[in-house]
Amino acid sequence: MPRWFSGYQSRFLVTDLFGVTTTWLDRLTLGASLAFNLDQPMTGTISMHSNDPRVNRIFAPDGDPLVAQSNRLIYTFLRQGAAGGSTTPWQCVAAGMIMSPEDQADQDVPTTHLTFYDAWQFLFGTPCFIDEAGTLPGPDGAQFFGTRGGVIVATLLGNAIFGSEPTVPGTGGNGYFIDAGVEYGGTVHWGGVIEDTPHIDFVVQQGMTVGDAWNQLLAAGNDFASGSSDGGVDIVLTPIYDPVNRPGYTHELSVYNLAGSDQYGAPMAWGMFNRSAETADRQHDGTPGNFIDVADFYAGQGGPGVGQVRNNAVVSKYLAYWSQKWFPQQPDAEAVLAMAQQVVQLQAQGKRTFTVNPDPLRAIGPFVGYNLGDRVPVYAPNKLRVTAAGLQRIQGIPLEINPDGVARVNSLLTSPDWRGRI
Amino acid sequence: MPNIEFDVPMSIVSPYGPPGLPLNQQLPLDFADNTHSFFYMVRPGGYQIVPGKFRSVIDSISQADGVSMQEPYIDGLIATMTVEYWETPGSTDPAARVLACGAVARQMDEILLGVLNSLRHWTTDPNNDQRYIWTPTGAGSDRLLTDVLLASWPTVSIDPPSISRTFSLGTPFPYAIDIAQLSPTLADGSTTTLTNGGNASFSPVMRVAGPTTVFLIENNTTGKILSYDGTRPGAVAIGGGDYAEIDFFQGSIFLNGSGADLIAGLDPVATDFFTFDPGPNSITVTGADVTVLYNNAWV
Repeated sequence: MPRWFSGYQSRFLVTDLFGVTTTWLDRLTLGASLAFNLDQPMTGTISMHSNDPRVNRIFAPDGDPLVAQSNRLIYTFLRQGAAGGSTTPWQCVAAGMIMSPEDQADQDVPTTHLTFYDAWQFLFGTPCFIDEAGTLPGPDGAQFFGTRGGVIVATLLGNAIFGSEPTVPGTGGNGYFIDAGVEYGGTVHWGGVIEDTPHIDFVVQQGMTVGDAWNQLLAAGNDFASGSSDGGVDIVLTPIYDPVNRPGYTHELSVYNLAGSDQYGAPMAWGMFNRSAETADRQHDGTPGNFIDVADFYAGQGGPGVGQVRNNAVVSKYLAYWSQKWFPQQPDAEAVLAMAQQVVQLQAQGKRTFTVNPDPLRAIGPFVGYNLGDRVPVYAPNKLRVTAAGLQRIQGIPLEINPDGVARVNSLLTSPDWRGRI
Repeated sequence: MPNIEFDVPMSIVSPYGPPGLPLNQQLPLDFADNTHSFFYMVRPGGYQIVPGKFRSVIDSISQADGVSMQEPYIDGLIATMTVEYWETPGSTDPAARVLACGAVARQMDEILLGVLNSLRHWTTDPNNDQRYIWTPTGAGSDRLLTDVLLASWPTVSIDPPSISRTFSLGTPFPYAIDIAQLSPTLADGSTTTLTNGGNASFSPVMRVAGPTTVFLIENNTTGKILSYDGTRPGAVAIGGGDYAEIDFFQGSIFLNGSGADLIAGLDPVATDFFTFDPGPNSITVTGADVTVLYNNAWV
């Protein structure tokens, strides 16, 4: 239980696809939870009484309820800024489209549970094009040779934006809700970063969605094969609320070699100073499939092996734990080899995670003090079987919002293993 | 607790019995002989007004077998009291008061239940038609709970010769208010001190006069603002002769109080539906004249 300060006030704002506010859900939600995970789409669920006019009243411009699916965007704000004057105390921390509402009624009470996803999820219904004219890949797929992974990420998005019908009709922007800058079909207001990630070979097969391709690039965007650098691909969608300049946009794209930075001012300490963590849960999953010190991957459908990747030091100490996989959607051997190398690097000691509940009073706040991908100091004394003392990378930020609208992080997920660390 | 005086004059305003059902006060009973008077007397035991939860009932018929008073969900104040029936048979002298029985008790019970039953639903004007009022000793102003709903069905206690009902009234507001409403008008560009003379924060209602497109209302005391911009997507300017009514408790803004929803004009990154803290509140308005409706609030 929090000591005194219990968290930040929250606010949910619903708009149509053009950025027009349909309703605020202040003092209306019965509870909500949002899951932010590194290199994955964000998801959120909110519950509310269905029969409140702020929920079920009809929005005249489109004839749907104020809270509806597929044509409603939802923005989450936390009151984390300074108050008064020209400042903006409410910070947008999440955005997305309402995709899966559930209307549930017991004998007396009708309740709506809605699930929303960020723009990344929308890309799992978006095909990869080989050009800006909207040409679908042929039998050889869309081939990228010696291309930076970040450029491939942005190019696939840009091709989808330029090459398909407008997703926000009337705004003139084929936004796909993601602003990646003018070069990739976005706006001049884009404030993201596309870093110079490693040059890689990568093939996008027929039938892949942009979401599928992004997922593969996260695994194959490194250049361990060259024996250098800790570069790779981290995709970050930063939520934005800018209905005046960018109506209908929910995120802007950034691609980093390694997202985040070292945040020494955000320690998570259990059982020792500064006692900013109420609980600690260290998990070391050494089961086969999670403990991988030998990777034997194969490219393409029935394609060749790309060569075993082994961590001999670990094998000699802990025995061999194999992972054998086939990648029918990725015929490029170099790309598959990169995946194998990343898996062995990250999981050669099993899957190691550390979960803490930050104390809202003593721990610095989420999104202002730390974010996904950041490395924060995690401390636990030898009251645990194994101590913790050092930086760990934030993999997940679950945000729980209680019926009073107060938000706090519950079960912050970190890991001592990240690309380039080991 | 906004009232600890169980024995002061009170009344329950409801759709059933305007202008209100007095408690702890002498009333004529409309019998043919017109010689009776009667009293609903509030017992000291169990009387309280405390924070609690209740649920408004839109449809009082349950969808399945069970009670139709539904689960609570609104935070606010709950007033609980036990009312005992008294009469003055053959007299109008209060000193001749005895516990009511027979036809008088029946009729008093019917009236009380009629009042309470009519409070199971919101009316079109709950602010004026659904109230629990009392007169605090020496306070100079009546106080009340507005928008009250029946929060628990009245239970009866028959302990001859005493007959009484125990019930609860709930309001979604977390405070009681003085019955006198203050309504100063703040000129565009002015800074004015408005004093909440109570002991609890109050959520005001403001009426922003058109014509205006962009306006800002700042509570300098709390550092919170409300920002409206009629050029935002889907937003509109407020025309001359119209006004935007902002309910800081509901978090709503409607044209002329019940017209078009103006929510699209509010800036969600800057706006707070702020309260007036107890004591002086420095309010600055920019972009329009604003009439503020507020009361002293008490807990």
